[in-house]
Amino acid sequence: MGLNIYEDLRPLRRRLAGFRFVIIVVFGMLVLRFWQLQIARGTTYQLQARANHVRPIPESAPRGLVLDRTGRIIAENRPSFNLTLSEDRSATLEALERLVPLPEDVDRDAVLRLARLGPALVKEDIGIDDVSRVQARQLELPGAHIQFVPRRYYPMSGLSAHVVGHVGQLSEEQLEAAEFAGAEQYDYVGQAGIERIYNAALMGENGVQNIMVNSVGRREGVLEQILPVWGESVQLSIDLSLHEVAQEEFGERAGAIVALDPRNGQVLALASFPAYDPNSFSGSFDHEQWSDLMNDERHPLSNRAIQGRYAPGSVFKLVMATAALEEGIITAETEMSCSGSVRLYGNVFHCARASGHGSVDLVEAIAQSCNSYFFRLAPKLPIETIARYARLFGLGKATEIDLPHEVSGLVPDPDWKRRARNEPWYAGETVSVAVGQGAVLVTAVQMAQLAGAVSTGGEIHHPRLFLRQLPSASPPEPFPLARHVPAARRLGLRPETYRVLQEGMFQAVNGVGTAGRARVAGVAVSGKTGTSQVAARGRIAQTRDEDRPEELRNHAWFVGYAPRENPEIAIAVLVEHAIGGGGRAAAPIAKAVLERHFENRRLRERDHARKTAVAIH
Amino acid sequence: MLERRQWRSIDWLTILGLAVVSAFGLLVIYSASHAGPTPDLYKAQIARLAIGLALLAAIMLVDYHTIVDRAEILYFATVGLLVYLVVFGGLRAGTNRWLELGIGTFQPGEVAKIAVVLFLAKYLAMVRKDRMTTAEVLTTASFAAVPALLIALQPDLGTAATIGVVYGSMALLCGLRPKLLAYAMLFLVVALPLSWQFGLRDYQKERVYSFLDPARDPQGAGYQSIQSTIAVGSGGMTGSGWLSGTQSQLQFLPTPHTDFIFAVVAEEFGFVGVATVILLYLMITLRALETARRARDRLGTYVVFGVLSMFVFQTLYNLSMVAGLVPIKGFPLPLMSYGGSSMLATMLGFGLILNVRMRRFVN
Repeated sequence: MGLNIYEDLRPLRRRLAGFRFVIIVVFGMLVLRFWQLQIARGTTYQLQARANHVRPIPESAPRGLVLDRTGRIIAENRPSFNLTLSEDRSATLEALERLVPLPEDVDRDAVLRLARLGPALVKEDIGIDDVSRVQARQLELPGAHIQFVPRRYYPMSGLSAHVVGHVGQLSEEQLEAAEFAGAEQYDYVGQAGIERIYNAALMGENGVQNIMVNSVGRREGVLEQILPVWGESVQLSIDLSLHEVAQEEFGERAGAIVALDPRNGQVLALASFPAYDPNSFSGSFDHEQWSDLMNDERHPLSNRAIQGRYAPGSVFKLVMATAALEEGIITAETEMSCSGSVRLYGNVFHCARASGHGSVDLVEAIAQSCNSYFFRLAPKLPIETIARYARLFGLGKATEIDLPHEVSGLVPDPDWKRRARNEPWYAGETVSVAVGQGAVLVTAVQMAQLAGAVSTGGEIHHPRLFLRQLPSASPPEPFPLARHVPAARRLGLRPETYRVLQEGMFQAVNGVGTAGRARVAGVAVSGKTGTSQVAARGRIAQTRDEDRPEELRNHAWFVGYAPRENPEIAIAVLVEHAIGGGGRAAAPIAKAVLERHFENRRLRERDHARKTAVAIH
Repeated sequence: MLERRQWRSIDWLTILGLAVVSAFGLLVIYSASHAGPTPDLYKAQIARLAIGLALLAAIMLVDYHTIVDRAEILYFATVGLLVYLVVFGGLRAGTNRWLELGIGTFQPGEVAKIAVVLFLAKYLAMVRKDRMTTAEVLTTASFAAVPALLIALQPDLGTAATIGVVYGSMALLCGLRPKLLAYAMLFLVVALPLSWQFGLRDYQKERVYSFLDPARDPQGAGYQSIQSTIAVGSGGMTGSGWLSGTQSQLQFLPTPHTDFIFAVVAEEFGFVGVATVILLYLMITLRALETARRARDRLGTYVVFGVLSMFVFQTLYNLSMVAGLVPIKGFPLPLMSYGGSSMLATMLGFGLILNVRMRRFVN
């Protein structure tokens, strides 16, 4: 083809200019589109890109330690490993199932669903064999992680189970609760005892490890790490050695013991029997174990020291004596005669000693626990007056000890009876109340508090388990309840009243009394026994305890303190369905615990003396 | 062989532009593949770039009139090859678009596009009037339609569509009567739903669905689109830096060194990088348009414009795809994407453009 030099190219050039315009416009629009994606919406896409490749793996904070007053460890942490999945990958889950036997009730769909949001728990507390099996095949298991988790451990097992309580996985409802703010799904939080009530301080702060994964979920490295912060540690006022003695003394029997320092309310011992092993709650709980604990007829999970409600029995005579003295019905010297029974309101009321105590004054009546003396006071004291003095001693309401779920007991009066049973108060009931039977109900911790109030001449301190917060590396998180200790109060009774009560309790142990088995060599122990009737009427009440079915045996009380001058320990012991009354069943336990307490003190003083001597040389 | 004035008319600026964009492409290919199973891809691409530049130089030496004189031979040989592929074609990547040679494979579709451009240029240059007659339109359209249909049968709808677009823009440049233009529009309106119904395979329809709503199958068909948009968007103003884009380095972005290479540019170099590269493409394009305008004859204008429309269409489609504006289609980004056929075809095309430019003066 030839050369067309003289062609008219103008129409072509005109159209080329049109194309040129269109091309510039289209390129310009593309630039605008990239501006929109990268600048206007850049932050959104940066977050999405981050969500693509960053997987936050939470690191649980170790809980703070719990120690007893001598520094023995009650609660600590042991290392454990959880198997988790952080990607919605059923292939990985299937591979894991072939590698590690999974619990049968694991909900595979739920695991995969949760895995989209973060690491989902596949198996808790796996063994070291499983850990190494999974680690070795990490490359074939995208999304699977071994998480190191500090797990709560109670080296003393059940020795102080009802004080320290236990931890358990945060429940759905608790996730919302203010009490557990800061806790995350799968976290173990305090569910009972000290663990529960001081949970916020013990818990610490979880850390997080942000790991980088690629498109197939394989781990590529750690982007950043926020280390977990240890929870605060606490020292309790209890002395584990007293618990050991109590456990030995109780043996298979059920009951409770509370010992406290009447001068300040520090709880020296608080135990409930039978106990349970709080370690059972720290890890994966198999359902059989759980239902065994829940359905155990002996109710090992309930804390009898603060939740068990029992009739006080003759211990209540201390309240009656106070009311009668303070109201001027009698004086310390007033004597009454006991023939073994008293006839009142058409009924015969029996004294414990069928042959009668003869003529006794108030101190003897307390020491020998003469029912007749107090039966005769009943018609002279309105039930409202008795109730007032009972409440003055702290009965009928919670002591506000730093433990959850304390019950208040019951001080009956006509108001209560109308509300609860829609019946009027019968005068005969006052006679029952006079010796601590009938509707009146108390807890062991209230009884210990009452003994403390008598021993100090009227000081009532709120019982406290919290002794001190242990030093921590970071600025300490204050224990919330520990800051609000209610102030001590004084009963404000006449000195003579305290003197009579104290003398009666001293004679009960050391004179002619019911509590001789609580005597401790070298220490002036004072106390009062009580028997809480389970089967009050009929033939069964006449049989010996050994011949009765266990559930119909009476409960046995011992309430006391030592030493007589400058008392430093008040104690309440309750034995459920005991063989023998308070003097035979409960007093020996108190004696053993008191002996250990004063032995500990003697050893401490000797150590101190030796150290001082060394220091002088 | 070359005259002095022709030497002086070599368009060094365009060559520089092509080299800069290609070199930048090498950097990005390295970033997108160095951590993967095939870290040496960039070396192969360097070799192809070298061969491409040699091809570009070789094409410039021979006067484009001489080349166009042989356009029929090239055209019919290509059509023959395409027929052969459709009838006897080996299977590769599920399609019949590859031809096994002793030394490797190549896609006859890439050659077909150049052959069609040269063949059409030759015939359109013979149209003397300001607008084509109906007969001329039908004749030239059939020249484009035959190879386009054969390629569509492979099936390679992308290349077929490119040929369609190239023909359309060349015909527009040549001049169409308004009535004919209206018919063409009508034809498209009727043909599109029909081809949707009968022409597209399920996976192709799926691509369109997922373009319209990427979230409907985020792990499947919508995945590429979503991940590409995230990669682009997360780049921000200056990007995460070379070798540091998480979307590409951690393999969230599919085919980061081929079709979605520009998403890597956007992620690692941000809007600054994006705007720079787009401006380079625009510069190369405007320079070629200038060449078309200043060609010494109609033939030169058509050759340049045909090659350019091919280049611009593929570039714009790829960039729009990365920006999430059009359905995903396997178009490489000319000059930057990893791949031999595309690189050689692009360099061959620019060889022709430079060829026309250096011979723009009449003796």
